[in-house]
Amino acid sequence: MSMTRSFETFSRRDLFRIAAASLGGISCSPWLPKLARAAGTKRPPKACILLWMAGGPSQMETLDPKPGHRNGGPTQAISTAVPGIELSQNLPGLASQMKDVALVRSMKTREGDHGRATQLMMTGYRPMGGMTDYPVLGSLISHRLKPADSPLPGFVSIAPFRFGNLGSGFLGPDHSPLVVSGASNDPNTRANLTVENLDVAGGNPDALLERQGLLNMLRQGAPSSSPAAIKHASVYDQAMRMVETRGEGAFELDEEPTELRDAYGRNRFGQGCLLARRLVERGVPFVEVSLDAAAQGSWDSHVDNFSAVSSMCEVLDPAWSTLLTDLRDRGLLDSTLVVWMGEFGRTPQINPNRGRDHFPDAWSVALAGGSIAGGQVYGKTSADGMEVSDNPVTASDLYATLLEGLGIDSGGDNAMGNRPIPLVDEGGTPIRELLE
Amino acid sequence: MSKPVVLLMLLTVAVVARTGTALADSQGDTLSQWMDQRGEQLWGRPPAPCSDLTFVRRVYLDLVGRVPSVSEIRDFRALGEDRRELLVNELVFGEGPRRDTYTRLSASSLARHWRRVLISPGTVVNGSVQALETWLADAFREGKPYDEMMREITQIQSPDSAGGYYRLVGGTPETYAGNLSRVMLGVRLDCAQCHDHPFTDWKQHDFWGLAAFYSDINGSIDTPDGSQSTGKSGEIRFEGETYRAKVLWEDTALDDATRASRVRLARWMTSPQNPNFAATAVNRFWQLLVGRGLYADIENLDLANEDERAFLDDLGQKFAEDGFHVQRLIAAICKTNWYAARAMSETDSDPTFRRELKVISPEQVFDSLEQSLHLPISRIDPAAPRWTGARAQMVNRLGEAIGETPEDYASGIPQALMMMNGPVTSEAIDLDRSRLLRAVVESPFFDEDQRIETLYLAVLTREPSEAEKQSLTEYLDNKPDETTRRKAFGDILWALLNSPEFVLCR
Repeated sequence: MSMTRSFETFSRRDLFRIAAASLGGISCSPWLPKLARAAGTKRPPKACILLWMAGGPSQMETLDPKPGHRNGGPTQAISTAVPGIELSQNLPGLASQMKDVALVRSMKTREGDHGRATQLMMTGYRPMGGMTDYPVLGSLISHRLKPADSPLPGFVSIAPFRFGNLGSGFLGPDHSPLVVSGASNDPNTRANLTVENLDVAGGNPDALLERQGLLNMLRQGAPSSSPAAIKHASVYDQAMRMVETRGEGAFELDEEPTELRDAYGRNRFGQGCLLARRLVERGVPFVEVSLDAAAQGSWDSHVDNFSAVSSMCEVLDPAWSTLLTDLRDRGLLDSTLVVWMGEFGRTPQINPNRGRDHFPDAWSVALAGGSIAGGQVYGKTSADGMEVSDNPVTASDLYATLLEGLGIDSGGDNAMGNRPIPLVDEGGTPIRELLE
Repeated sequence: MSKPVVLLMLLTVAVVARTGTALADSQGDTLSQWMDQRGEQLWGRPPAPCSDLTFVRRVYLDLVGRVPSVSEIRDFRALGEDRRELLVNELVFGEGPRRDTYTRLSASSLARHWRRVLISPGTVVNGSVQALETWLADAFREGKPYDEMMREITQIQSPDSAGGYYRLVGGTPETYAGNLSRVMLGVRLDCAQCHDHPFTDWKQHDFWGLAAFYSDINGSIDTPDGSQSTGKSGEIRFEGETYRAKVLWEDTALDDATRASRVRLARWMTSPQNPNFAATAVNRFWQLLVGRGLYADIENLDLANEDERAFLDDLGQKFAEDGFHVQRLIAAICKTNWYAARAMSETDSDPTFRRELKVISPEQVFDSLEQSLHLPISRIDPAAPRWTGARAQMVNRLGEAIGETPEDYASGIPQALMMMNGPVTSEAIDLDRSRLLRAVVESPFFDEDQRIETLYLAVLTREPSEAEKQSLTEYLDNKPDETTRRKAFGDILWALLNSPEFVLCR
C-alpha cells in the first residue's frame, strides 16, 4: 500500500514540477536525486532534534546532583548504565541510556535574563542590540542540511514556547520554522500536534496543478523587490509541496503502535518527541520540541523547585529515553544528534521559597547520538555547584561542537549579502573529547 | 500655584487651541500640505502617485478595515475631481449616507490596531483582550483626544481600569512601566530592569522610578524574582534596592510621591515638556497608515537621526496644538503625497522614501473575504461565518504569526494552508455554495471578459492587465466543455484569493 501511495505522490509531484516549470520558467530535473535515493541504500542523512527546556532547568535536580551538600537539597543521585556516572533520581530512564549520552556539566555563560539568555543559546550569539538578525540553530541547520528535493521544510518547531521572538534572521523565509501548534495536552484538541488543511480545497488533488499555474501568473504582477512578496512566495511554495505529499504522512501519529505512544507519554511533549522522530525519518534535518511547564510547575522554579522539577521530569524522562531507544531501534541514532538544553541553569543556593533562581555561571546540557561520543561527562562544577572547576564551556564552544557533531565545519561562514557571518561566534572551539 | 488652578489654565489653553485650529483646518487639509512640504525637505520629491483603484483599496483597508465593495468603488468614481479627499473625509469624518457604518467600522479597526500596539505580538496575555479593545473602540468612536486616552491609561486606579490593560500585560508595576514607556515614549526600558541599558543612557533607576508609580496598584501579581512593595505609594523595592517614583529625563524623584502620583505622571506624560510623547504618537499613526514609521524603529526613538527627529517633533507639536485630534491627523496623513505614493518606487534623494507593500491584519483578511465573497453577515443567518466560529478560527490561526510592523509578512505554512484549503476558501470556490461565483458565472448580463473583470475588482480592487486577460482567456478556452469551464472560475478565484496581492496591500 505504501508503495502505491509513494508512487502516486511521486508522479504527481513531477507532473506538478513540469507544469510549474513551463508556467514560471523554472528549469530543473528534481526527480533524479529522488530516484537515486530510492535505488541506493544510502546512510540516513544527518539530523538534529533539540529538546528545548524553556525557563532554565535546575542542573542539580537533573544532570549534576549534589547529594550530601547543603546546596543539593533533598535530591538523591542514582547510578547509570555507565559505572561512575550518576544522575539525579528524577531521570531513571535517561540513566539506562547513559552509554549514548554525553553530559556537559561546565556550561558558563553570562546571560541571566530569560530573553537575552534565550537569544544567546538559540543563536549562539550574545544579544547586541539588533545590529545583525542572527538565525536560530534550527535555521542554521536547515540552511546547511535541508535536502533540495524534500517536500517537508528543513526546520519544524513543535509547540514552541520561548522567551522572545526569534526566527531565521538573515537566512530568510526558506529556513523559517514550520510551527506545529500544540496548545493543549489533550490529544483530542483540534489541531493539536498536526498541520491542518492539507487536503486540496474542493477535494480534487489535480486542481492543485492548475491553481499553481494561475498563481504563478498572478505573482508576476507582484513587485519582486518586496521582502513581503518574496516571503509570501517562499511560504506558498513550501505549503504547496506539503499539500502534494500530504506532509509525507508525518503528522499521522495514529499510525504508531499504542504501546510506543504510551511509552513516549500521552502528553504534548511526549507525542511531540514521537512526531520529531517521524519527521527525521522523512528527511527533516532539524526538529525542535519545547517543554516549559507540567502539572506541578515549570522549569522556571523560583518557588518549590524540588516538586516542580520532579513533575517536569515525569514528562521529560519517558519521552527523552524512549526517543533515544526508538531512534537506535531504527538505525537513526548515529545520524541524529539529540540536544537537551535550556537558556541557563538555577542557583545552587536554595532561596527562602525553596526555589532556585536564574544561574548562568555553572550549568549543564546533554548531547546524544550523531557523532557524539556517549557515556562520558565533560567538565565539572565545584562541590557547592557555585562555579565551574574544570573545562568551562561557552555557548560558542557548544555551538561549534554541535555543528561538528552534524558533520558541518564549525569554522565556516554564512553570507549576509556580501558580508560573511561566522556560523559560530568568535572564540568557539569544538570540544574534541565529545566527538567520535 | 494650587493644582486646580494649573489644571484650569491647561484646560483653557487646550480649548482655545482646539477651537482655533478646528476652524482653520477642520479636515486636516492644511496639515496635509504642511506634511507634503516638510517631507520634501527630508526625502526630496515624492514618488509618482498610485492609481485611483489602489488608493481606494488602501483607504478602505486602513480606515474601514476591509476592501471596498464593487458598488463603493463605483460611488468613488462618481465623486469627481477631488474624489480622493472626499473619500477620505467620508470614511474618517463619517460624512454621507453610510455615516454610522463607517464610524463604527473605523473605530473598531483603529481599536484593533491600537490593541496590537499596546500588547505587542508575542506577548503572553493574561486574560481576554476583548475589554481593552472595546474600551479603545469607544474612545475612538467618541472622538476622545489621544492625550486624554493615554492619560487614562497612565493614571489607572485598579488593574481593571482602561480596559484592564494593566492586568493583561502581566499585572506587575514593572511590566506596566516597560509597556508605557515603549508605547507612549518610544523608549525600550525593559533592558534597564536588570542592568543599565547597554547602548543608550537609560539606567536601572529610570526603569524602576517609572515602575514605582504603580507599586500600590491593588491586585498586583507577586512574582518571586520581581518587585516588592514597600507599603508606601511611590516606592518600589527590587533586589534589595528601594527606588522612588521618578519620571524619565529627571534626576530627582518626585516630591511628595504619595499624593496623586499617577495623575501627576499622566500630566507629565502628555505635556509639551515631555520630549517623546507627541513625536511617538505621530510616528505610530504614520506607521499605521504608510506602513513604515517616519522614523522606522519606533520603539527606539532615541536612535533617530536629527532630520527625522526634527520632522517628528514638528509634526508632534502640530498634533498637540490641534488638541491631539486623532481623526484629523489620520485624514491629513491620508491626503499626503506620501500616503498616495505608488508602492515600491523610490525617491532619488537619500535617505529615500519608499512605500512598501503592507501586510493586512488577520481581521482585515476575514472582513475583506466577507466583503469580496458576499458572505452572509446577519447574526440570525446560521450560515454566516462571522457568527459560526469561522471568523474566530481564521483570525486565531493568522494571529499566531504576526509581524512586528505592517511591512513584515510573518505568516508561515499553517497560515498559507488555511488560506489555500481552509473552510472559507473551500466554500468560496465551490460553484454550488459560493455567492460571488454564482453571481458572476451565472449572470446572463456578463460576457467572459466581464466575469473575469468582476472577480478581479471584487477581490483585488483592480482590473486585470491585458496579459492576465489573455492568459485567463486561453486558460478557459482550453477547457473541454461547459461544466469544466464554469468550474474553472473557481480555480481563478482561488488564485486571486491566494495571490500575494490579496494579503499585501499594494
